[in-house]
Amino acid sequence: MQNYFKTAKNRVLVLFFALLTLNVSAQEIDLLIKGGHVIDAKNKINTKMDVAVKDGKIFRVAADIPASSAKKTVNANGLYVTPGLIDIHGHVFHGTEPDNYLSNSQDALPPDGFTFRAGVTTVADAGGAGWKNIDLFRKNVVDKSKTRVLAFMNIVGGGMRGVDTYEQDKADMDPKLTAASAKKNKDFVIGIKIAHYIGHDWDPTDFAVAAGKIAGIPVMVDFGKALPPLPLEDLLLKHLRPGDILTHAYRYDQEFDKSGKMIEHKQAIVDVNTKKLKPYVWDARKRGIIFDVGHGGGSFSWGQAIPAMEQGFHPDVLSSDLHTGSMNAGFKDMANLASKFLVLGMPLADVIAASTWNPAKVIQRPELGHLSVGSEADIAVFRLREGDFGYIDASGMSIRGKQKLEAELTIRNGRVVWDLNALSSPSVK
Amino acid sequence: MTAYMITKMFPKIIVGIKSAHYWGDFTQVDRAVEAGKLANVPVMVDFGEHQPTNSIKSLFLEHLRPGDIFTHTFAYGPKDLETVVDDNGIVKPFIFDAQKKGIIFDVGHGGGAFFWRQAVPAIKQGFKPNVISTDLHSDSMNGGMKDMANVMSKFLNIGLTLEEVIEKSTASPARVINRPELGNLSVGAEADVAVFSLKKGEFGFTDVRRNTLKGTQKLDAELTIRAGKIVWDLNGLSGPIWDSPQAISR
Repeated sequence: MQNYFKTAKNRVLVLFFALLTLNVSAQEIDLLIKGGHVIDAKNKINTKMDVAVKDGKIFRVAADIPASSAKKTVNANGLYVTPGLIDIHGHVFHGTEPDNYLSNSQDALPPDGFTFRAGVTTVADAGGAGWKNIDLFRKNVVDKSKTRVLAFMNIVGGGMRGVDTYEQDKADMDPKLTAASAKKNKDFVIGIKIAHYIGHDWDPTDFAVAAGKIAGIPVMVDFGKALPPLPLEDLLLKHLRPGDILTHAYRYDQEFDKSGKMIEHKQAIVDVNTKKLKPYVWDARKRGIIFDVGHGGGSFSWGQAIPAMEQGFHPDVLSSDLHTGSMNAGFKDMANLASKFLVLGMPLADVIAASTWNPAKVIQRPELGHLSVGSEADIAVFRLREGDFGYIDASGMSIRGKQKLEAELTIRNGRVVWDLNALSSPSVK
Repeated sequence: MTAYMITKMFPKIIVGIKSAHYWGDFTQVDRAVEAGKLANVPVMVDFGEHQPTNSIKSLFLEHLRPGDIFTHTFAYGPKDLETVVDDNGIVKPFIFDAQKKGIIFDVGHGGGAFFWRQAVPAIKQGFKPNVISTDLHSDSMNGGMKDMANVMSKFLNIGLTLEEVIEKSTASPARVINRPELGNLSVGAEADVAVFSLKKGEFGFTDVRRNTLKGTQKLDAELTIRAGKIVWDLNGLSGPIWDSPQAISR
């Protein structure tokens, strides 16, 4: 009796799978994003196209892929479809270590809550961990997040755990150990970070570059805390290599000497008196230095960005400097930052390139940041809203703008991970 | 012990006792209520899954006190958890009795506890939650819940008035957790203020099974003020224009 049921059940199963196979061949696409305007800088696409996803990968990008060939179709008419954004300057080494700043502590944020809702699918932590705690970073953040998490390793062994003391300790800046650890973790370590150093010397920068050379990866520099200030020109033209990154490109800090007297600004790209971009900045760009936004809570000034943009100096890469001090302030999220540059006159295609394919090249991850067939399906769908919007810089000053990008849909590895207005869901009425 | 933690150690930050995820009978709820009585605070119940289901009628009318909180009100998993709305889409009559008795019905949307098939008929039949809340965690923030303004917008689109939605997200929760100093704009109160814009357009809202309800209104938090300080400003409402005289003089 039991056997009879088993056999009958098997027959039903066989029939079921036969039907299923038929079904798959008719609808071989898992997800079809139809009718959107695709912007893919690598593949030089900037037009209306359909994007098909199958088995977590980009399956086809073409005009008029029939909806009947897909199990699920998203209507993207009037929307922009781009590769998932890549943010190369986040702070996502969140943890509960008291008084540890951005290294396994409470000023850093868990990535998934701040990435997908802005169209970001890859975030690089910018120096939260050094060689002493990069393993913990992997365990607690890289392995636990749905967002693809990469890292710039800090040249400081203990990572970004306190500006005033730990991050000044040159004895804890070891190029060989840092490079060795970077190589060992090359599946997610994509660069070296040097930041927050207040000494009047170049040693930490040179250590970071030495580590970058050994590991074959770029260095990202957060510059400008040296007291008295060091010349930015020397950093860009003498110490960094082509391909190395100046982050906080549009930062403006008032600068003081040791006696507290305000001095000429040595560390901003735009001369505050003439409003002109300093000539060596153009030279640095020609040399191959990468200019990254790294907005953050204190590192983006309209007084720098507006003249620079007016003189045609657009950023190579848009990035967040996401942490507790920036998420609720002028930065907010990557879509808001992208909107700022749109409003400053950067064409949408360039804004998207600077948030997708450009950063992928900078971090030597050419498999990311585009919608080539066969690549992992990380996709963002944006609505470009028209209206009256306002944007704030790091000092609380605002500009008005008529456009704003809003992340409608984010897809990571073929799966919908953010859907603002239920574009991908069945309706109850 | 739990009660002592509240009354002796942390009376300022602990506002209630939670009973959740217990797969047995009423034991856990009863112990929570015991602690709640000792500490004079409400109990919030995330009623444990159990087959066959435990009776929520008994929970409301025999185990909980007036002022205690039933969260995940619009959850749906009828095999494991008794629902508020029956299979025919009718709110069970004792639910109204329980609310009249003083049981607090809380939304607690979360990643798995809000279904249109429960919420839509309930609101239509006049059963409204007492409190709107999120159940914020890593699964709900990117799912149907998203954030508090989104959950509030959902109720706006299924028939609560804006006034009701705000009341259930401010004054009502303050009352429920015995914090009458919160959730109002009385002169002298700490200046916790939210400014919303009510967007009109075509919006979609998903429940935890990704089923969609189309709506025409959405609340957007424009400005948030905590203890008198601006902690969120979506569109630069509070910032001077960067090259205006006000900006230069700063």
